[in-house]
Amino acid sequence: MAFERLEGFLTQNTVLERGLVIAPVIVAANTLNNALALGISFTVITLLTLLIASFVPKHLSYTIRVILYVITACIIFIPTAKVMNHLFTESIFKVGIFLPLLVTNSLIVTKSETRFLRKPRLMMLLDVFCHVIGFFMVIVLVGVIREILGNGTLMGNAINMPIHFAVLMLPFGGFITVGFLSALLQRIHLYLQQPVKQKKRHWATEIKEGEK
Amino acid sequence: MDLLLGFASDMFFYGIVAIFLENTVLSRALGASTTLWMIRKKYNIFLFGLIMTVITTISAIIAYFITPWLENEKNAYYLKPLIYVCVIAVVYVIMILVTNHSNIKHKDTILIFIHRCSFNCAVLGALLLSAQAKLSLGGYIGFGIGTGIGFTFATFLIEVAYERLNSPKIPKAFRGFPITLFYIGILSLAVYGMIGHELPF
Amino acid sequence: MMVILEMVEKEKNMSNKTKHLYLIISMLAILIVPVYLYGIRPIIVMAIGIGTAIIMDMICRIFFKTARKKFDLSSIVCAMAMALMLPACVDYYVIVVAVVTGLLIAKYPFGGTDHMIFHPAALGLATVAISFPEQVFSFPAPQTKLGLAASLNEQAQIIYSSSPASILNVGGTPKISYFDLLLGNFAGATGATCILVLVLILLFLMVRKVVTYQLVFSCLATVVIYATLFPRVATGTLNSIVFELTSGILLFGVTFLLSEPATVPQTGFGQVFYGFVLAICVMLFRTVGSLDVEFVFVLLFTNALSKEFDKLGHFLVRRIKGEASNQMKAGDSNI
Repeated sequence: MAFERLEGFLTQNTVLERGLVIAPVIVAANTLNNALALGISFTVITLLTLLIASFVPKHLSYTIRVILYVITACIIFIPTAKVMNHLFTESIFKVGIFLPLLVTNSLIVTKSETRFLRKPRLMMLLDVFCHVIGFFMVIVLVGVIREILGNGTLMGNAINMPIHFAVLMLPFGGFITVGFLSALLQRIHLYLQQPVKQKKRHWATEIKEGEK
Repeated sequence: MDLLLGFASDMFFYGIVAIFLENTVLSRALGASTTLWMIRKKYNIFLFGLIMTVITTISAIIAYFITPWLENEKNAYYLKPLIYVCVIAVVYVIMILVTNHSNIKHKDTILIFIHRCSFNCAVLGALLLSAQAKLSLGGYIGFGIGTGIGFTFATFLIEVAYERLNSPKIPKAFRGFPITLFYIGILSLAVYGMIGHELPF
Repeated sequence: MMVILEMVEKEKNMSNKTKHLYLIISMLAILIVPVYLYGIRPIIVMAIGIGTAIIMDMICRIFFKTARKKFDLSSIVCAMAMALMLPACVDYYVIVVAVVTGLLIAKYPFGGTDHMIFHPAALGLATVAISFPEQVFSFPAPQTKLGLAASLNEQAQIIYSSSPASILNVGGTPKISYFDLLLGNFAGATGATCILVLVLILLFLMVRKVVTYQLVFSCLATVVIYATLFPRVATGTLNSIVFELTSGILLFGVTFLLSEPATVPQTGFGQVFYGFVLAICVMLFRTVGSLDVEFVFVLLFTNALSKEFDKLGHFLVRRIKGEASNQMKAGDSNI
C-alpha cells in the first residue's frame, strides 16, 4: 500500500511510463543546466498549481475549472521564470518556448481531474510530489546523459571524452535516450510482475550454481 | 492586390513550413503525448486534427492583434503565456458552447476532443513560435493551420505503424511506448536531415 | 496447414539468405575500384564494420530474445553498405559508431531482420552524418593513397576534393568527364562512384530478383524526369540527368538499400508508388537541403510508409480486378 502511494517515482513515472510531458525532456533537456531549469520550474509550477487547484470549488463546470487551473499555472509561472532567469540565465534563453509551455503540462490539464483532485488533499500532495520528483529525476538524468555523450561537457565544463555524438543533442537523441530509459523501466516492471514462484525458481537455480 | 498576394503567399509558405519543416510533433515533440493518447484510444485522428486546426487558427488570429501591444511591455516574456492562455480559453469556451447547442454528429466525441485540444502544448506552442518569429497575419494563420495539419500528419505516420510497434515480435521491454519513441525519433531525424539544420526553440 | 506455413517460412528465410549472399558478393565486387584508387584502407574499414556487426549480433542475441534465431547475414550486409557509403579516408571509429547505432536502434528493438521498419544502414549513416560531418563529407581525391592509421587527421598528404553533389548544391556543374564518371575517378563515397560497376551490379541484382525492377525503374525514371524539368545545372539536359543520377549515393542506395523485404513494399503497384515518392522527395530535398546524403534521410521517411504503399497497391489491384470481372460479366450477359 505504501509502495503504491509512491508509484509516481517509478512504476507510474510521468515521462517513462505514462508518456506525459515528454516535449521538454526530449527537445530542450540536452544539457544539465537546461534540465535543472526545466525540472525545478516544472516542480514549482505543478505543485503550487495543483495545491491551489484543490481549493477550486467542484461545483464549477469542468471547462471553468480547467481554465482556472491553467491561468493559475500562468500566474505562478511569472515569479518562477524570473527566479530561473537569475539562476540559469543562459538556459532560459536556450530552452525557449519550453519553459512557458510547462503551464499547459498534462499533469495540470488532464491528470488533475482524472487522478489527483479525486484524492484527499494530503494524499494528493504526496502523489503529485512523487510524480513531479519522478519527472525531475528523469529530466536531469536525460540532461546529464545527453550533455556528456552529446557535447562532451557537464554544466558547460569540458570533460575528457574521446568522442561525442552531436546527434544526441537533437530531438532524435532525446527520443532514443528516453526510449532506452523507458525500456529499462519496462524491463524492471516485467521482472517485478513475474509470479513469486518463478522468481524463487530463478533464485534457487542461481544459488545451486553458486554452491557448485 | 499586392497585399492580398503577400498575405496568401505568407500563409502558404508558413503553412508548408509548419507541416513539413517545423512539424510540431516530429521537430519539437509538442503534442506527442496527445498523439499517443489518441492512438491508444483509437480515436478519429482526422476529426481531432480538424478541431485542433480550428482552435489553433482562431487563437492565432486573435493573438496576432494582441501581440504588438504585448511586445511593448517590459515583461512580455512572462506575460505572454497568461495572455495567450486567456485567448485560447475564450476560443475553448466558444467552441464548447457552439458544440453543445448544435446537433452535429459525434457531438460527445467532439467535446472530448475540444477539451483535449485546447490546452495542448501544440496550440500554445504555435502561438508562442509565431510571436517569436514576428510573423505577419498571413504567417500566423498559415502557421496555425499548418500546425494542425502537421499534427494530423505526424499522428497518421505513428498510427500506421502502431500495430507493428505493439506486435509480439517486438521484445517485451521495448513493446509499446519505448519503441514508439524510437519510431518517432527516427522520423524526427529524417525531418532534420531534410531541413539540414537545427530549429531554434 | 502448419506444415505448409513452415515450408513457406523456410522458403522465405532461404530466399532472404540467398539475397543477402548476392548483396555481399556484389558489395565485395564494388570494393575493387576503391582499392585501386585509395589503397587497402577501404577493405580495413569494411572489415572493421563487419567485425562490429558480428560482435553486435552476438551480444544482442543474449539481450534481445527475438533475435535468438539462426544467424542471419543482414547485419553484415548493413555494415558493408555503411562502409561503402562513407568516404575511404574515414576514421575507424565512425564505421563502428554507424554499425552500432544502426543495429542497436533500427534492428534489434524492432524485432530483427523480418520485422524492422527502418533500414539499419540508412539510420547508421544518418547518425554519423550528423554527429561527424567533417568525417562523412570529406572525400579524398581519387588516386590518393591513404594510410592505415585509425585516424587520418594528421596525415597532411590527403588532398580533399568536392563531390559532384556538393557542386550541384551550389548551382555549379561538376567538371568530370563521362569516362571518369563511369570509372569512378572522382571524389565521393567509397562505393558510390564507380558508376559502370554499380549499373552492372544493379542489372545483375534485378535479374536475380534481389531488388525489383518496379522500384528501380520508378525511382530512376522519376529522377530523370525531374532532372529534365527542373535542372540544377545550366549546361544542358543531358548533364543534368547524368549528374543527378550519379551524384551523392542515389544509385548506390537504389542498388543496395531497397532490397530488404521488411522495409520496402511487396506489391508491384506499391513498389512503383514507393519509388516515385522516394525519388521526388530526394530531388526536392536536394534543392532545399544541404547534405550530400539526403537519400538516407528520405529513405528513413519512406520506410515508415512502406506498408501503406502496399495497402494502396492492394486497393488498386482489387479495383482493377473488380472492373475486369464486371466487364467480363457484362460481356457474358450480352452474349
